[in-house]
Amino acid sequence: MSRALSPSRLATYATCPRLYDYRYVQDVNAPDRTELYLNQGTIYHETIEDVCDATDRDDDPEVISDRAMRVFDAKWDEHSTPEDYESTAHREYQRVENRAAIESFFDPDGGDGIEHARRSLVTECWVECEVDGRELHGKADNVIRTDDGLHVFDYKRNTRGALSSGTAERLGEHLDGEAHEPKRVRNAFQTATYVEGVKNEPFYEDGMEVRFSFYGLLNSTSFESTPDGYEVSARGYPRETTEIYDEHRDTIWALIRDAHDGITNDAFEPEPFELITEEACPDCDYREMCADRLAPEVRR
Amino acid sequence: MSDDPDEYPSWFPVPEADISPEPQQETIIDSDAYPMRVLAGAGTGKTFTMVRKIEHLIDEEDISPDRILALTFTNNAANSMREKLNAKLGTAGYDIDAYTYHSICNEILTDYAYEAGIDPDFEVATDAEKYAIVIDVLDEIEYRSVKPNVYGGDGYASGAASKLLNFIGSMKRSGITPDDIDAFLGPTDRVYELADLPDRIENIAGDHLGGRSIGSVLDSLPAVRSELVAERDALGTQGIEESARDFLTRLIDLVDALEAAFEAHEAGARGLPDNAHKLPKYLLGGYASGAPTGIPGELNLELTDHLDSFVSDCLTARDLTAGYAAYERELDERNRIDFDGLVVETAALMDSPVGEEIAERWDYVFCDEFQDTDRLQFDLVTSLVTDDNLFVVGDDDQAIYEWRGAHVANITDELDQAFTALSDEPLEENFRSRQPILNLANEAITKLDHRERHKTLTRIDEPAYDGDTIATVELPDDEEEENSAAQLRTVVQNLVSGAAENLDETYDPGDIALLVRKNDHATPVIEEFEDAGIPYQVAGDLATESVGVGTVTAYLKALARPADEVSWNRVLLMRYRVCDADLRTLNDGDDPLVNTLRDTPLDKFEEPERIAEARDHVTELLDLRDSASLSHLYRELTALTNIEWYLSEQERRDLAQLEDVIEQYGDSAVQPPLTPEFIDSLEHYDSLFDESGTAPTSQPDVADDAVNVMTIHKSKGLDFPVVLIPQITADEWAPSSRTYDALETGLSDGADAAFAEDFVERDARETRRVFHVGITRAEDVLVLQGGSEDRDDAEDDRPVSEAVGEILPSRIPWQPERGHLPLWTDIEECLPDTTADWTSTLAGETIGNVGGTVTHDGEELAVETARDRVVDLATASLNGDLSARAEEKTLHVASLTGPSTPPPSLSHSYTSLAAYEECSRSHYLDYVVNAFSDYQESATTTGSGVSQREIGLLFHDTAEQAAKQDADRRAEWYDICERLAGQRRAEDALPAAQECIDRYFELDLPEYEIVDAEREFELDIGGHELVGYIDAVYRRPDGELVVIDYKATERHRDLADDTQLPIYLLACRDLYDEPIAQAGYAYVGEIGPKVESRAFDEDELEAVEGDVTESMNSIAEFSFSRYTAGEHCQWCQHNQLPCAPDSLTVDPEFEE
Repeated sequence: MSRALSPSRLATYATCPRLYDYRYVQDVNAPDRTELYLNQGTIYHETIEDVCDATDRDDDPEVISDRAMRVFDAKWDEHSTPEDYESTAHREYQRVENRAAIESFFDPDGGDGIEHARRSLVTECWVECEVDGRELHGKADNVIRTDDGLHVFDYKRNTRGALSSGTAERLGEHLDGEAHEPKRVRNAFQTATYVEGVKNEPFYEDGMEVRFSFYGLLNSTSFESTPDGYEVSARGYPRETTEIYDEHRDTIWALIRDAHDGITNDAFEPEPFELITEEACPDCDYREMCADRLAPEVRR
Repeated sequence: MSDDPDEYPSWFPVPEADISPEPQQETIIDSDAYPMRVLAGAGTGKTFTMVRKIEHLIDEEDISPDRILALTFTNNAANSMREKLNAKLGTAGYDIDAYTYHSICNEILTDYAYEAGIDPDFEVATDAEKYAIVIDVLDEIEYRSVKPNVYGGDGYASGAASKLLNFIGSMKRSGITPDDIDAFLGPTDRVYELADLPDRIENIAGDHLGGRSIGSVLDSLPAVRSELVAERDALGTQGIEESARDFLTRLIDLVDALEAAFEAHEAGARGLPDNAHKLPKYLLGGYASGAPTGIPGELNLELTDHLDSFVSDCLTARDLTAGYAAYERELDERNRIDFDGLVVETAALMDSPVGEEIAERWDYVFCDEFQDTDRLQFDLVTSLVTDDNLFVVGDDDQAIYEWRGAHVANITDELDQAFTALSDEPLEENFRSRQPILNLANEAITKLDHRERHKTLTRIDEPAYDGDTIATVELPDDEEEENSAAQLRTVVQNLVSGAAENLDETYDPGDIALLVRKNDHATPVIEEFEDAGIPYQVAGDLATESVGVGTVTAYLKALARPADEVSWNRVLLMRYRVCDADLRTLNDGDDPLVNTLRDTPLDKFEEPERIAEARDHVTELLDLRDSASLSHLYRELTALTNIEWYLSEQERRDLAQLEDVIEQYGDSAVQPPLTPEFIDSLEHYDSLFDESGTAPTSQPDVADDAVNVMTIHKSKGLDFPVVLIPQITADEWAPSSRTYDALETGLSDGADAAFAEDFVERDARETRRVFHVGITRAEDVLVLQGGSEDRDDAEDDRPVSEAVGEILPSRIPWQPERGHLPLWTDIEECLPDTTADWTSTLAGETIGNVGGTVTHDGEELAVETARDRVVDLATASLNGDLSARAEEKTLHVASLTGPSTPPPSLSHSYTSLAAYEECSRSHYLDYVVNAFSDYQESATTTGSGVSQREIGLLFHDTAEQAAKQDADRRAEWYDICERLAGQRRAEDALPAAQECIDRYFELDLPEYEIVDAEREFELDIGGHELVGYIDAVYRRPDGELVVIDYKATERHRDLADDTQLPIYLLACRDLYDEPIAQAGYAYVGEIGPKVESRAFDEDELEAVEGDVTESMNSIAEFSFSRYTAGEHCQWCQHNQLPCAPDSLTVDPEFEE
C-alpha cells in the first residue's frame, strides 16, 4: 500500500529518520521558534499568488506593479504581527525589505514577476505523481506557460545553498552515506515532484517541455545608510534545476525510494549515525530529548 | 589549590601569625610614609603586605579600625582580606571597611541617596535586567547605519540589542554620557559629510600619486599636500571634526616626511627599496584593492582605514546614543543603577559639597590591584583620600584590563601627578614560583615597549625540587585541533600518574590549571579530558553541553513553559527513565503532553511506577511554580527528584555554575518565581556574560579535585603548582583593536587623542602582560604549548618595512607589521637553559600505566576496553542472557586493588572504630571503599528543621575560632557564630547553635584558661594510624589540664566504659609535655548544660589501647560480607541493602 508524501516530509526523513519520528509520528511540540520568517513567507507567497490570479496576459506592467504593491500592503497587515518582533523598528525593517523584493520582482521595467503573472496558468497548484509505486504530492507555487511548454516556480526567500549544477554530485554522496545534504536533497525531491506532477495536470499536453526553477526573491539585498534613515533594496533571480533532475534522475529516485520506504515501514533508526550526529544534531529542535543522541553522551 | 591547608575548609579564616614578613615587606609595613605606592610583582605577597600594614596601623599606631578603608576588586578578595584581618585582630577586624570598588559605591550611595538625588531604595540592575531594558528601548535607536535586526543569521550576537549593550558598556565604563557623545558628534548631517572624507583622501592619493618613479611621485606630493590641507582647513575645531582635523594633520606630516625622503633619494643622499614610489599612494589608501605588487601586505599600513573605521564607529554611535539615553532613563524609572553607574553616580557625589564629609569618614585609604582601576575609579579614590593618607599596591606588568577601560597610567603617571609627595617601595621577592619560571617572566616582559617601571622577580626560600620546571610542547604541523589537544591530555595524564622521571612528584588534577588566552583554546582540550576521564572544572561556564545540566535545565524549561514538550521528553527520558513505548503513549494524541501525563490511567503504561513518580513530582512542582521563588523552586526540584543522584561527579560540578546563576537571579529582596524570561536569560547567558565574565570584578571559585580550566584573565590572583598554557602562536595571540577604541579615547582624552595611539600596539603590549600573568601563576611546573608559522616572504619584505619605519614621522602612531606579535619566537629567545622539550616525551606518550589496567577472564584489558566490557555485561544481564561463566569472572582492577590485593592503607578514627564496632559492613562501605550513599527517596517537605549535625558543627567551629581569637565573651562567640553561619549559609542552624553557646556560658569552662582547641592528632598504635581532633584542652583553676569534648547532641555518654576520651588522652601524651589524666564531655545540647569528667588511670588507658589495637587488627581483615543488623541500621547510609531490617529507611537527619 502506498501513501502520498510531500517533498518536505521526505526531506525531513533524509535529514534524520528520528527527526521525522519526533516531528510527524509522535508530533512532539517543540518550543516556539520565531515565526517571523514563516509569516514573511506567507506574505510574499500570497502576494504573488493573488497578483498572478488577478493578472491577464495583456495587462499593463504598471497596472501589475501597482496591484502587487497594493496586495503586498494588505497581506503585510494581515499576516505580520508585532508579537513576532522584539521591536517596531525590526518589523518595519523587514517590511521595507520584503516590500523592496516585491517591488523589484514586479518592476514594470523588466521585473521577472511581470511575465510570471501574465503567463501564469495556475497558482498553488496541488500536484501528484507516482513512480515505482511511490506516491508524491505537493503544492506548486506558480505554473507558467512558456512558448515550449510549462515552467513551474517555487518562490523562496533566497536560493543560497540550494541545489546547483556544481553541487548536484552531492546527491549521490548523500545516497551512499558519504555526505549529509538534506537541503539539496529536498530541492531534488521538490524538482521531481513538480516536474512529474504537472504532467498529470489537465493543462499538460504531450510533447510539452516541463521546467522547474526556484526563485529567490531576496537573493540580493543591500542596505544603505543616509542621514535621514536607511534605504533597502532587494533583487531576485531564479535557479533552474530541470537539467539536474534529468541528469541525476536515477539518484534522485533512489533517494526518494529510500525515504519513502523508510517512512512507510516505520524505520526511524538514524543512519548513518555519525554523519547525522555531526551535521543534523546541532540545529535540531529535538536534540535535547533525543535518546539516540544522548545515549553515546551518557555512555561517555 | 596549594594555599589552602588541608585541614581547614576553604572558608576558614587562617591567622597568618606564623608567617613573618620578609625584609622588603617589613619596610613597607613599618613605614609611615604616605602616600605610598608599592609596585609589586606577581607572587610577592602584596595583599599580605597590605593586610599587615593595616594591622600595624591598628596595633602599633593606635589608629581606630573604622578609620581605615580597604578597597579591592573582587568580592573574593575583599572577603579574604576581611577574614585575614578578623583572624588576626579579632573583633577589631570587623570594623575595618573592606570593600570592592563597586560595593563601596553602593554603600556610599545608599547612605547619601538624598544628596546624590537618587531614591534610597535603588537596586543594582542585574545583567538579565539590563538586557530586558535594552530590548525595551530598541525603538529609541535612530536607525540609519545600524540595522534594526534584533537577531541576525547567527543569533542575537550580531543584532541591534547586542550592539547597544556593548556600546553602553564601552561608553559608561569611561564615564561618557549620552550628552557627551551628542556634543562630540554634533548633528547627523555633519557626521555623514565626514563619512565621505576617507574616500576623498583616497581619491586625492589615487588621482595624484600613480607615478611610476620616485621622481614623478615626488613632483605630485605638493599637490596632494595642498589638497589635504584644504580638506583639513574646511573642518571645524570641535569634537569629531577636531579628531578628523588632527588625523589630516598627521597625514600632512607624513606627506612632508615622504617628500623629504624622496628628495634625499633623488639627491643621492639615501637609498630606497624597489617599488618605494608606490608607498605614498599605498599609505594614503589610494590603491583600491590593498597592497600593490612590491608592497608587502603584512605592512598593514593603509592609514585612511583608521579614519574610515573611526567615522564608521561615529555613524553607529550617532544611531545608538538615543538608545543609550533611553536606557539611562529606563534604569532611572525602574529605580535601578547598573554596575558601571554605581561608580559614575558616586564619583559625581564625591565632586559635590558633601564629598568632603564622606571622605572624612576615613583617615586611611588602602587600594589593591590599582592597575585595574579605570578613570572613574581613580577619581573616586583620590576624592576619598584625606591628608594624602593613601596606600596603593598593584603591578603595571599585570595590567590586563585596559581593553575594558582600565587606565594603566593610573598606577604610574596619574598617581605621580595627583600626589607629588608619593613615595615608592618595591616588592620583588617572590614566594610562589620556582626561579626558572621567574627568569622567563623577567626576560619576556622586557620585550614590552613602553614599560614604565622595571621589576626583577627573585624567588625567596625556594624548596628543593628535582624535575623539569619549564617545558615546551611544539604544536603538531598538521594544525588538527585534536592532535594539539591530545598533547595536553597526555601531559596531564603523565603529571597525574607521576611515573615520569622528569617529574619531582605526582600531581593531583586540582594542582593543575589550563590557562587559556581565549575560550576556543580550551574547548578541544576539554573534549580530550572528557574522553580520558580527567576531572576538570571550567570557571564561570554554564556547561550547557553537560548532559546532566541539560536535564536539570530542561526541567526548569518545562516548568516555565509547559507546552515545551521537547523538555518534558528530556526529563522523562533522563530522570524518570521512561521507556520508549510509554513515551510514545505520552506523545500520542492532541492533548499537551503534560496533561496526558497527569490524566492517563496508569494501566495504559508498561512501567506505571515510573510514570506515577514523574506525575507526582511534576504536579507538585507545577503547583509550587508560581508561588515559590526561583531558588526555592530549584531547591525543591533537586530535593524532590533527587536529581543529583543521577549525575556524574563531573556533572555535579557543572551544575554548581547553574546554581550560582539561579541564586543570583533577581536582586530584589524577594526573588521572582520561575518565568519564561529567566529561561530566555539563560539562553542569552553566553553572549551576555562573555565580557562581564572576564571583568576584573569576578574571580572564580577554584576546584581542588579537578583540573581548573579558565582564561588567564580569570586566573589573576590565583596560583597552581602546574600551569599549562596552550596555543601560543602569533595568530592565536594576535592583538587587535576594538570597536569604539578611537571614539572612546577621543571622548575621554580630548578629540585630538583619537589618533594619537595605535590601539593594536596597545593591545600587543597588553597581550604580553596577559602572558606574564599566565606564566607567573605557576609554582613548580610551567608547560607552554606553541609554535611559530614560517612567514614565506618575510626576507623580501624587510627592506620595505624598514624603509617605511624610518620614514614615518613621530606623529604617525602606526608602525609597519602592526598586529604581528611573534610571541613564540620571543619566548624561545627567553627560555632558560634548563627548559625541557616535552613534545616527544611527556606530551607524546603516556609513561607508566595511566588509568591502570583491568583483568577479566584471564585477559588484561585497557581501561576503555574494560568499560565496554562492563557495559556489554550489563546489557547481557538486562537481556537475561548473561552466561553463568562470564558472571563468575570478576573484573580485577589492578590500579585499585594492586596485583596481590593488598589492603588499602587505612587511617582510623574514633568514629570509624565506633562504626566498626556496630557493623563491619557499614564500616567497610564508609571508611574503606568510600561507597556512594544509597539513593534517597527524599521527604516531600524539607522544612522539618535543621540537622543536629549542622548545629553541632557550627558550635564546634565557633568554639574553635573563639579559642584562636581569645574571645571569651558570649557576645564575641555570638558574632563568630553568626558570621560562620552566614558564610556557610547555615542561618537556619544559628538559633540552636546560639542556645548551645548560652549553655556553654552557664558552665565553668569559660572561666578556665583555654590551652588548645581543635587539636589534630595522629597516633601510632601497634602499627596502625589513628587520627582525630581534640575539641579543647582547658587548664582548671587548680592547674590541672582537662580534655573536653563538646557534645551538642542529645545522646548521653557513659563515662564508665568510654573509649573516646582515653584515645584522646593517649594522643595527649605526644602532644603536651604536661601529663593529662582528666577528660570529659561538655554537654551544650538540650540535655545540658553540664560537664561530666573523670580521671583515667594508666591501666585504663593501656586497656583501651589494647582494645583499639585489636579492633584495628581485625579491621585489617575488613570485608563486605560480615554485618550486624540492629538499631544502628536506621542511621546507616546503605540501609537499602538487604542486610537492613525492612522497616528502616534512611534518616536524613542522621546525627553523626
